[in-house]
Parts: sequence; structure tokens; C-alpha cells
Amino acid sequence: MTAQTDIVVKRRAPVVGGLISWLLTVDHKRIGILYLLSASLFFLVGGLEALLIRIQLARPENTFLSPDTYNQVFTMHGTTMIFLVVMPLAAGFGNYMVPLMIGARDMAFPKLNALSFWTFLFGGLFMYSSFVFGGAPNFGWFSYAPGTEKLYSPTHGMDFWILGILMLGLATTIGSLNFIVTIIQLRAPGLSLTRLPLFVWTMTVTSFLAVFSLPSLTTAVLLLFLDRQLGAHFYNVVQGGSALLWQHLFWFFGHPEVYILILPAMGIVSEVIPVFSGKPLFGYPAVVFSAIAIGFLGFTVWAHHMFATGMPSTTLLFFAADSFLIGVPTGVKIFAWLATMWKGKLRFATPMLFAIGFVAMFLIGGLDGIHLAVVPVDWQLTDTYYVVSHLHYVLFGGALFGIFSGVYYWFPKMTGRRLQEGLGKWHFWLMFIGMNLVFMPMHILGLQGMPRRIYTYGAGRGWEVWNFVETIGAFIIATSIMIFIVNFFASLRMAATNEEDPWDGFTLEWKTASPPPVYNFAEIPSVRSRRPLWDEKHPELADWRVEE
Amino acid sequence: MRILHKCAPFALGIILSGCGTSPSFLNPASSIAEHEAKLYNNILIMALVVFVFVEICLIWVLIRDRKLKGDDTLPQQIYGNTKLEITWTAIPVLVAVVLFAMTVQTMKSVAAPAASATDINLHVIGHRWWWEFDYTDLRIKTANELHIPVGATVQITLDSVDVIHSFWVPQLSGKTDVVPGQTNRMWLTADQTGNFFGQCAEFCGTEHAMMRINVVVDSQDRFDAWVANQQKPVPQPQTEDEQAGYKLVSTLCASCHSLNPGETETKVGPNIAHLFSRSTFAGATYDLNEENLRSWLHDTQPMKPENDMNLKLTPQEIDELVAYLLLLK
Amino acid sequence: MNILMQPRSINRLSTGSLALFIILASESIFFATMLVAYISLRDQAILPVEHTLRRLIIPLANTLILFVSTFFAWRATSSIRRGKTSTLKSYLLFTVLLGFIFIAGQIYEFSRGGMHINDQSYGGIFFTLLGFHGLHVLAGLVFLIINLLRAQLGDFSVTHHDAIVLGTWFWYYVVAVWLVLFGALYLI
Repeated sequence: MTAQTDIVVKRRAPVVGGLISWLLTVDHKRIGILYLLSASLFFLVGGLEALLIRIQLARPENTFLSPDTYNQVFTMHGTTMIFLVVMPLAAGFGNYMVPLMIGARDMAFPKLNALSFWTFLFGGLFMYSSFVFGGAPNFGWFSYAPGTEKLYSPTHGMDFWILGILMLGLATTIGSLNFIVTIIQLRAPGLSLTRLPLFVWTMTVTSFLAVFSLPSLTTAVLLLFLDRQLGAHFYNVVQGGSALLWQHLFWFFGHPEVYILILPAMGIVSEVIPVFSGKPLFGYPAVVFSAIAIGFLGFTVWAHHMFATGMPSTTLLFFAADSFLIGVPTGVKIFAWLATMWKGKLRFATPMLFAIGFVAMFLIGGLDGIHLAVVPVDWQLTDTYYVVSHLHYVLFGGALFGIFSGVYYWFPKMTGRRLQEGLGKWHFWLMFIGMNLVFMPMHILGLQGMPRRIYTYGAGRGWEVWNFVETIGAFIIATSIMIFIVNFFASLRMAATNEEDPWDGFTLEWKTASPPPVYNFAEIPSVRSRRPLWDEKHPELADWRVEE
Repeated sequence: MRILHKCAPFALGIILSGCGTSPSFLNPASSIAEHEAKLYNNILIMALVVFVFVEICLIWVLIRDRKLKGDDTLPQQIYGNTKLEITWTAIPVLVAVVLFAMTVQTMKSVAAPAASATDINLHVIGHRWWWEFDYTDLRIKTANELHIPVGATVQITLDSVDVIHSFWVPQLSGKTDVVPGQTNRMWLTADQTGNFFGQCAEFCGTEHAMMRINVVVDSQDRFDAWVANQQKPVPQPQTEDEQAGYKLVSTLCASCHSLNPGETETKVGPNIAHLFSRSTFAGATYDLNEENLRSWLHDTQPMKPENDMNLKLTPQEIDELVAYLLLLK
Repeated sequence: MNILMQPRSINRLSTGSLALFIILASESIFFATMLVAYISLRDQAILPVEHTLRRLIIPLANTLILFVSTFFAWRATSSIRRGKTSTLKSYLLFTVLLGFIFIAGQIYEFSRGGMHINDQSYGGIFFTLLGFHGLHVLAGLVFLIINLLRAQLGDFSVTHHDAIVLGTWFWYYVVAVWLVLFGALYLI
């Protein structure tokens, strides 16, 4: 065994420079990094768009952006953050970490993996090229037909959006397929489904959600494309089409999509909190089951996005009741995280700060979501800034905080260096304060009757102050991101320490070098419990003694 | 709980400083909005209880269980606790049941009254980017400015001629989407007089932000007077300018704007038979006065980019048009 | 075993068939949502074409052709299971030929006029459903032809013929989708 290992170490690939090797790579770790870096660039663009929106809305009757530019900017902000940032960031972590966490040497289909990445990147760039070719898409990330028909949206923006979405959908479908097969087929000996790390579990559920929900989006945009390009009439009511068909197809994808965005972050938090509390995840089976339950329920609540479309009240009540139920598994998760920290020995390193921030902020996003599931209240609040607030507490306070937790947590594994703690804390606190300054007042604006997606508003309705506060908050968030960028490059310039296990971790990715060799593990590890590294470090308290 | 109940809206009132000027359903002017506001507040209280409880637990744990310097002992390894887990699964289920009951109850309270109780039938038509109001029984058509008498039950049918819009006057009622090819229904009532702000709530294109509604709730007498005035035919032009203006209106404007107060056809633009009885125009976004009207007729695009009205008028034509339009009170 | 290789899976399931089943499940949602669109639109649209018995002739014939082709596809798989490569080749060839006849029939259906993609919403959904099914048939044919070529090159044996099995499964799926579409578009 040792002899063989030696050979392997010698054969370890040279630290490959050169762009070509990155272009042609099929290594899951490199593809993961490519995903993370491209998504980060899109994040900066999407963030810039958010700043443009906030500048425009800082004052009533502002003329910083023209109406059409504003509409393009908010459309691309939403589309970017969802399809080009949060989804690929999760895919990036998934690519890098899932094989390591399950003790595999690579993904099941490395070439498909590369195809999936390049399709995603091309799709994103293609969509952005619309700015050069006569105007970006301008009808919001949910692009409601019939407003997106050629008659009402005659520029090529929507066509770019449709084709881009098709490419991104394809990329995600291939990627998800790869995750599912990898996780089912390539687990290390002993790593049964009941011992799978939570991040791997959430990536599994996410992948199933993507594979089963994206076809609905594909159908929706294909039909729209045929309407626009071949003169079909799917969404044209004058010719026997249906205006609401789009909404049903879109939200049948769109609601599972919300969980596609949040579940990986929940997975990261479920990894980070136990490690930094020095305890196992409280109620592992319940947490896993809640993720699966969220996945299933996610497919049955789509029409709660359509309460104002004039549905019969029995339908309304069904979808309301169903939506309330999603609160149950979500609650299970939040309580489980709290109980994991309970009587632990908490270390407040930056990954943990972001994970705690996730719990605190996601809670708000969950609670204000209840208001939106209550039909008569939703009639008042839907399509107002209240919704904008809710979705940002979920996707910024939730998904993004979770992802940043992952960034700080796994950066040492990927680069052999820790991100600097001092700057990390500045980043966290500024982001925490900034996001609350931006998104908390949105609740108030929604209650004050401010609809979303308006490029201008009149003075005298009590909206000015809060909008101005939000703009300040947006710049605080921007500052925190600058600090992160500085931290990122400064930390990369530091000498590598190559700590294998900087956080005293529990799962298999900490059992190999940092960064890991191409083949990940010289010897495929075997697993007896949910925390294989804990077992190794504390044989007398090994988990398998309890679990078996 | 009772005290909480009274305090929450109050606390919100402070937050919504300038609440009096905000078109907020928490500042209701109808029984519908009031029911919705009450439900909002009740759920807010429940949510706040959960929020405070969880965040206090969290902060308490964070302070109490932080790892102290030099403490290298391992925390006790706790894997779970079935009773606890069942409890925190069961409680949210119960809360969901309560929420459901509250939802059903409020939906009953805000449901439309029977057709026999109708005082006014109103047909609302959404256009990019303005609102057409057709009082079907009174044979009146107006735009963007909706007049209703206080206390009346207004039954509304909603249609769109183009994309999806959403009709929303927060202080009077929740929103109902205006969907092409599907006639939706809602109802309105107001229990105090005054002007109430509303706005299209579903993104409908470039000028979505400029598609507003001004609801004028009048006493029955004033409403009747308004109706009587709206039903009058347009006045005859007298002066030379007015006559020239009338000619222009009937040739240039009439293809899109009707001068007939009881026009049955749905035109591209608002009915202008009683234009100057309104206080605003262009989707209830500009005050209607001579100055604004002149600059609108000079060039509409800077005021409301991408709207459908594109005219090239000479200054003289504008003078003549304004002279006549000012008569349309 | 080379230490750099991924060891074989802990499952007995083949990786390829798992992947195929997931793809087909995803495809099924695609067709299901298309069918939902179809059902919701057909109530609102004026049907431009009556489904007389005469119009049913080609779709019926096509149904029969696909039925027969599944028999050959099935025979192809069972041949290679018994190691008979020559019968494998002829059965594959028959399947492919029947597939092409089906496509030819569909092209005739599409081109014989009476209905267009821009005839109301119904024309659109009718052609879209059949069109996407046709694309899947073509994809299945490409799969089968590659299998045929590989069989010609002697790529398959009793123990090594995953691609044949997957190709057959894909073909069954395409036929199953056709049956659903035939029922929905022509019979209901």
C-alpha cells in the first residue's frame, strides 16, 4: 500500500499553469473552481445592477435611468442573481465538495461535467450580449406572457433571454444528473445514505428538484419562442391562447427553484454549525427528512404566486394550506440548528458567523413569508416591496449568507490558505448591517403600498425616507463585498499553510491534502458513521458506537 | 395578548411615520381593507412572538455556549431528542391549522356581497398604461380617476386589452389581476370620503410605474352631481380658436379619444368628453392644468416615454386644441 | 487495479441506466407540461380540423409501425444477451428502418396542409407536441444507428452491451410517449 502511495505522490500532476489546461479540464475540483469564479464575476455584475436600481430609487421622480433601462436592469439583476450566481455557486461547491465528501475520485461523468459548466458560461454570456445587440430583456425575471410577446416586447431582448434560459436549463439539468448519479453510485464503502453529509443530501434533493422542475420552464420558454418567432399563439388570447398558462408553467418550475436556491445553503450551514459547535447535527434524520419534505412540498405550492389572478376560493385555500405546511420542515431545520449549538463549544470564526447570520436572517424570510401565504393579506402584499423584502431575506440573508459561510469554510481546502479572519469579520458585520438596512425597510414600503418594479414614484406617500435608507444600505453591502475581494486576493498572496484540517472538521474532505491531489484520496476511505473524522480523532467517543 | 394586539398596530404606526399620507391598507378606508389589516396584524403578532423567542434563544446560546479561551474539553455529544423533535414539528402544524382557520374566516368576511346588494356596476379595463372606467349602468366612461359614493357597494369586472395588469387601491381593497381573455371580478366599498391612491401592481411594460389610479370617494349628493355632469354631451365651440380646436379634436384625436361620454366602443386612448373634470391625466401621474396639457401636447414622450401618443403639432394648433379642451369640464 | 481509478460503484445498478432513467423522468415532465398546455388550450381554441376517420389513417399506421418496431428492439436486446451478434444487427436494422418509415409518415402529416403552427393556439400545440416527439424519435434513431455501427465493428458481446440495452429503453420510451400523444391528439 505505501509503495503504491509513493508512486502516486510522484505522479501527482505538476502545478499546472496555462489557460489551456483549465479550458480542457474535466477534474471536478477545477470545474468547481471555474463555476465559483464565473459565478462570482456574474455576482459583481448583478450587484452593480442592484446599485443602479438603488440609485434610481434613492429619490422620488429620479431620472438617473430611463424607464426602459431601469426595466432592463432589474430584469437582468433578478435573472443574473438566480441563474448566474446562486445556482452556479451551489454547483461550484457541489462539484468541488461532493466527490470529496463522499470519498470519490471524481464525478460520475467528468466530461459531461465540463460540458455543463461551459454551457452555463456560454448561456450567461449569451444573455449578457443582448446589451450589445439592441437591448437586454426587459420584462422581469418571471417574464409574464403576454407582455413578453413580440407585440409588446419587440426588441430581441426576450429572445436572448429565452435562448439563454434554455442553455442554462440544459447546463443545470446535465449538472444535476451528474450529481444524482455520482451520489448514488460513487460513495465510499460504508457511506450509506443515512450517513451522508447534510450538504450532499441537500445537493441530492436540489438536483432532483432541478431535473423535475426545469422541464416546465423549458416548455414555457419554448412555447414563448414559437409565439415570437413562428407566429404560434400559445399566450395570445385573441387566437385561443391563454395568458395564465405561462404563470402555471413558470411557477411549477419557479417555486421548486426557490428551494433549488436555498437548499444547498442550508446544507452548508448544516455542515458548518456542527463543526464550529463541536457537536453532531441535532436530529440528523429529521433534518434530512425535512429537506426531502421541502423538496416534495415545493412542487405543490406554485399557485401561491398567483393568488390575485382570479382563482376560485377552494383553489386558493388549498394552495394556502399547502404553503403553511412548508413552514413545518423549515421550522424543524431552524430548531435543529439551534439545538446543535445548544451546550456546544462555539467558535466564532467567519464561517460560523455567516452560518449564524443565515439562521437569524432566514428566520425573518420564513416568518414574513407566512403573510404572503395568507390569501387575503397576500392580495394586499403581493407584487409590493414586501415580497421583494421576503425574497431577499431568503435569498440574500439565506442563500448568500450560506454560500459565504461555505466560501470561508472551504477556501482553505481549495487553496491551502485561510481567508483572513479580521477582514472576514468586517465583511460579515458590514454585510449583516447593510442587508438589514436595505431589506427591512422594504417591509415597510410594501405595507405603505409601494409596488415592485416601478422605475419612479411620487413624493408625499411616505416612501422617500425608506428608499433613501435602502440606498445607503446597498452601498454598505457594496463596501463589504469590496472588503471580501481585498481579503480574497490578500489571502491568496499569503504563503500556503496547506493545513489538511484547519477547522477540526468532521467530514471526508478534511481527510486529504489542501488543496487535494487530482485523485483526491490515495486510498478510498471507508466510513462507519456520519462523522468519519470525528471517529478517527476521538475513537473512544466514536459516532458509530452510538449510531450502530 | 390583548395589550399586544393593541400595541402592534400602534408600533407599526410609528414605523410608518407619515402613515396618514401613505396609501397603506393598515390605514384602511373600507371594511375590506380593515379585515385584511386586522389579519395582517394578528399574524404579525404571532410571527413576532416566534421571532423574538427564536432570536433570544439564539443570542442566549451564542453568549452562554461560546468556547472560552483555554477550554479544551469536548462538549457533550448530543445526537437528538425524539420528544423534542416531535414537539417542534407538532407545534408548527398546529400553528398552520390556526393560520388556515384565520384565512378562511377573513376570506368569508371580505367575500363579495350578493349581486342584489349592488349599487354600482363598474367595468375596469386595463390598457398600457392607463385605466378605463366604464360605469355600465350610468353610461359614463372615464379614465384613471374613479368616483364612487361613500358606503356604496361597487361590483367590478376587470378586463385587459393587452397585457396583464393588476387593479389595486390599498386603502379600499386588495389587488385583483386584470388578465386578457379572462374576466375577473372584485368589489369595492369605501366608508369615508376622500382621495385614495392606487396603482397598477403587475409589471406591464415600460410605463408600469406611470399607471396610477385616483379614487375619489364622494358623498352621495356630490357623486350624483358628478354623474349628472358626466352624462352631459360635449359643449359646442364658440370662439374661432375653440372651433378650430374642435375641428382638430374631431379629426386628429377622435380616432383614439372619444368625445362621447356614453361611448360603448373601447378606444385606444381615454375618453375626453369631460377631460377637465379630472384633476390628473396621463395615467393619473400629472396634475391636469393648462400648462401641463400644453407641454403634453407639445411632446408627450419626455413626460411619459414610449406612450402611444405621438403628435407633431404647431404652436398654433396647440393653442386651438387647448382652447377647446378647456371647455370639456 | 490502478489506484487512480474510481473503484466500482457500491451499487449493482449500472451508472448508464441510472442516468438514462433520470433523463427519461425529466423528459416525462417536459411532455407532461406540454400536455397540460395542450389540454388547457384545446378548450379555448377553435379546432381548425375535424378528426375524421380518414385523417386517422396515417397516425394509426404509424402507431402500428412503432408497435412492430418495439418488438424488433426487444428481439435485438435478447439476441445480444445470448451473444448472437448477427441477429442483433438485423433486428437493429429493422427497428431503424421502421423508425424512418414513421418519420416519413410524420413528415407527410406535417406537410399535407389543412393546419399550420399559427392556426390558433391549437395548431401551435399540435405541431409542437408532434414536433418534439419527432425530434425524440430522431434522437432514438441516432442512438440505434450508432449501436448498429458499433455492432458492425464488433463492439458488443454477451457481457458487454450496455448501450444496446439503453438504446432499447430509449426506444420503448419514445414509443410510449407516442401512444400517449396519439391518444391525446387524435382520440380524445
